[in-house]
Amino acid sequence: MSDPERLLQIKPTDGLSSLEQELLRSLEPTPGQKDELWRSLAARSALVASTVTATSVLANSANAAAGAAGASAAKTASAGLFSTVSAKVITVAALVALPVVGAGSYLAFNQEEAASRPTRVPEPAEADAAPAGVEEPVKEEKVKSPDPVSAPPIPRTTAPGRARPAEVARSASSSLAEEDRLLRRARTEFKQGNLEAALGALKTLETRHPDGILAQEREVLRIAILKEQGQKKQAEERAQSFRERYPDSPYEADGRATNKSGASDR
Amino acid sequence: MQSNSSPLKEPIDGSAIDEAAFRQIYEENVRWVWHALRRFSVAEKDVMDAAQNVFLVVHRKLPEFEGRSRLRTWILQIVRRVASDYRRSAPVRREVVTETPAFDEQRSRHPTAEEEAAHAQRVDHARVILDRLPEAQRTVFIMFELEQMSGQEIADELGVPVGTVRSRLRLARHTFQQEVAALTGQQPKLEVIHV
Repeated sequence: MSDPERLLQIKPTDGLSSLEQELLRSLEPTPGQKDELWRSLAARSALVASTVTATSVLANSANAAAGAAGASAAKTASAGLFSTVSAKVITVAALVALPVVGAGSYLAFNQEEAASRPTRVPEPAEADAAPAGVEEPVKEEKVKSPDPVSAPPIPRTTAPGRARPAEVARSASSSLAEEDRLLRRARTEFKQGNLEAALGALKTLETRHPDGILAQEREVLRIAILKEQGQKKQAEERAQSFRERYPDSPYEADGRATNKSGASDR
Repeated sequence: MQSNSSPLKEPIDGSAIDEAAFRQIYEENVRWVWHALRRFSVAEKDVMDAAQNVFLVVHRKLPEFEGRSRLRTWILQIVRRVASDYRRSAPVRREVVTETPAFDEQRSRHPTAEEEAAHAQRVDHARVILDRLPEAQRTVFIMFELEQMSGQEIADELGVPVGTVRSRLRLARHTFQQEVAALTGQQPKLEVIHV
């Protein structure tokens, strides 16, 4: 009995409004994000392949343990480009061995690595987090561990192209509570027929959060107030620019409705 | 949606992982991994990175996957661990974020900055609402609505009776609708927005 319909009598998103479904849909990884993620994965495997040489050279001149890592890395490198993701462990082994090697080697290693990928190099803190002892990561390749994630944290790659919207979202979310409060006040006033007070709250909202998260909701309410005030033309103009500005808005239908009623009802 | 076994035909000797096979694993699992990371409270801005780390570990550890458990269960352990690492190191990571615009050149179609911002805004909106749900409800809600797990699967993973899953989901949906309504000033369950 694992059928959700029988167990829960509903399917995912069944019975949710279109707005609620729209919000949930926005949480799906977009095709662009999936592609981007796959490309990053492929790039990471290529990165490891390109650092293998540096690691091997380093290892040969360092100590026996790192030498083993080099041999291992060479073996992995011959197994094909993509499969060399597993050589990442070797890279970490070399990082752990770094204090033993000269600073010059470290610099050379970093330069090579920096040239081969668009992200920052692993930070010392991350290398520190690796299992103690140079041999351990290498051993990990051979010994089966019951723990699927005993590897040290993988250096972060910032999701390319996401930084910008993430910035936007981050700064916006901090003031969401205040926006929410102001918008609620405007709505309450509107529902009670206090159009001027509602407009006042909206203007405060607009001044304080011109690019706020609730900008669409603010604008929808603004259009409603204009309609209520009988300012048909202005309402239509605003509805028009709303549609242009937010073509994918969940409020799209409402914007059109505003326009339609404005054009035909009056 | 979730695969019951590894798509790899034969045991892997640890030296070569077929890219096509890995790609298949990626395609079949990326969606739920993405949502599960949220379920384990990975910040929105870190979901992409965390997902990347999950699949790097999956790729590296795949030779050790012995098929004793479902592939999904095995990957879930990795998701859990990666998410836990992210939560622990989140304050530090926030300071070291660097932009890498060079990658943008590889994108086939550039969404405009406005489109991206609008999408990010919507995601943020949804995330704010999800995060307002009490944790027990949020977990079941994400598992059912986003990861699209069945009631029995959710019950098994959480170790609670199916009846509990059902009641938590009912509560969660109610809370979610209330929160959406609170943000938009509408009554729940309205199909269109009337102002």
